[in-house]
Formats: sequence, C-alpha cells, structure tokens
Amino acid sequence: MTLDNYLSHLENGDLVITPGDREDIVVGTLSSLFSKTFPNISGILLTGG
Amino acid sequence: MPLNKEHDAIYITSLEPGSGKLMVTLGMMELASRVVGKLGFFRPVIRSGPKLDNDLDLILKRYDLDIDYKDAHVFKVDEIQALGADGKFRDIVQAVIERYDKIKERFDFVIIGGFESSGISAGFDVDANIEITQNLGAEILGVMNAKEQGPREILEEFKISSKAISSHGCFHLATIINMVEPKMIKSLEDLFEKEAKDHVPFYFIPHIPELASPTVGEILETLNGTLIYGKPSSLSQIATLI
Repeated sequence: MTLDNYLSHLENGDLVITPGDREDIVVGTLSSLFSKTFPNISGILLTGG
Repeated sequence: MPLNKEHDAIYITSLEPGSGKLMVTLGMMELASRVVGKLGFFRPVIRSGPKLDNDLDLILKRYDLDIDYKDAHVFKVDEIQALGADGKFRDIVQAVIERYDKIKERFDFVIIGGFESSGISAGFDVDANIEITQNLGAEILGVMNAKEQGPREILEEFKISSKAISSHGCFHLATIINMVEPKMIKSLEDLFEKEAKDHVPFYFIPHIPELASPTVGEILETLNGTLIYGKPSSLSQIATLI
C-alpha cells in the first residue's frame, strides 16, 4: 500500500504495525502525530529488526 | 448489591476465560472496602511463570491489604495441571480449604477470586469451583460473558448456570452478565424481567471495547519489544487493532 492510501485509513487510537524498513510509513505516521487535522494514533510497532 | 451478613465471603467465579471477572472483582472490592471492617482477598490459583500474577498483585496493592502475596494464593496453574494429571483432585481442594481457614480467621470479610481456566478440563473447573465454595461457605457471584450472544442464548446460559449452582446446595448471591451490547440491554432487561424473575438477582454491564483492549505498554511487554521513541507515560494509551 502506498503512503497516500495508508494515511486515509488512520483512526484515533490505532496501533500501527509495520516493518521497520518501510521508511515511508514510519516517517508518514510520525508526521501525522504533529498534524492538527490527522487522528492521533496510540503507537507504532516496528517489526523485522 | 446488599452484602449478606450471614456469610463472610463471596466467591467470584465464571465458567469461561475472558468474562471480565477481574473488573467485577475490583468492583466488589471497592464496594466491600467501604462497608466491611477488615477486608481480605484470596485467589487460590494464579497464572504460571516466575512473574507476579498481575490480578492478585493489583488487588493487594490497590486496597493495601494485610496479607502477603504468597499467602493470598495456593497454586499456580501448572501445579494444578500436574496434580490434576495425577488425579489428586482431593489434595487440591483440601489445600485451598486449609489456606482459606487460616485467612478467614484474620479478616471480617473475604473476597475470593475463583478460577476458570486451569487447563485440565471445563468439567474439572466447574467441579473444583463448586466443591471449594461448598466447603468455604461462601456465596457465589457468577460472571457471564454475553459477548456475541443473542438475548435468548444469554437467558438460557444464565438459567443453566444458576441451576448448576443451586443444585449443588451452594449459596448463589447474584450473576453479573458482562459485555452486553449496549443496544441490547433494554430488550434483555425486558426478557429477564419476564422469564427469570424467580431466579437470583442479575445485573448487566455493557460492553465497552476500550476496557478489553490492551495498552501500548502491555503489547510492548508481551512482545518483549524495545521502546525506541516516545515518553514511557504514553505507553498507557489504549491500542486499537483493526
């Protein structure tokens, strides 16, 4: 899934589970934390080292 | 819920894991701590492993009870399984009763957390719970999980469990029907009012998903993960998994 599509799925309280090498998802999700309009996730769980 | 002064203990039990027994136990501790002089807690069987049993530890600390962790339980689940495999059912029940007798002397009122998943068999769990309560002279507070069940199924399960308890001569205080879909509560109340009026008191607790969801910190601990970024205080957030 591309970052664009993924971001539209975010909801309040979500725990995002993603492989550690998906930099786009990691950076995009971290950025969402600083946005006033995006939902607030509860955490990011990085898998696979 | 009125506490019966004829009995000096309540045994909280459910026939299935994940019924929300801990939440009900905490609620009963909260209630009893306000009306009872010296309140005790006893959990005969705790989870296996070297770590503290979270449920027992939480209750002992939250209510600052005058009982040591090691005295407030008798067995771990794996010990029960080993004894059960050897057919030492009587030894299990006997050890629990002996410990309870010692605890009872020190407290005005004791709340006992029954066990629902020894891993031996459902039949064993039911028998052991009933046998223990018969001997302890405690009143039974049943906890039922109504999740994903229709009103009729919930009513039937309530009737069957009530019958099982009363047919063994146990004192049945009430049954808490937990995790009821909020939309269903009204129709369930009407149905129970009509068809279960003669039974013991029953109470409904609505299903609130957040209560059953783990926190980020619990997931981190379970997976043995490492915190890379973020404040430890934010680990208490509830994690929603889709």
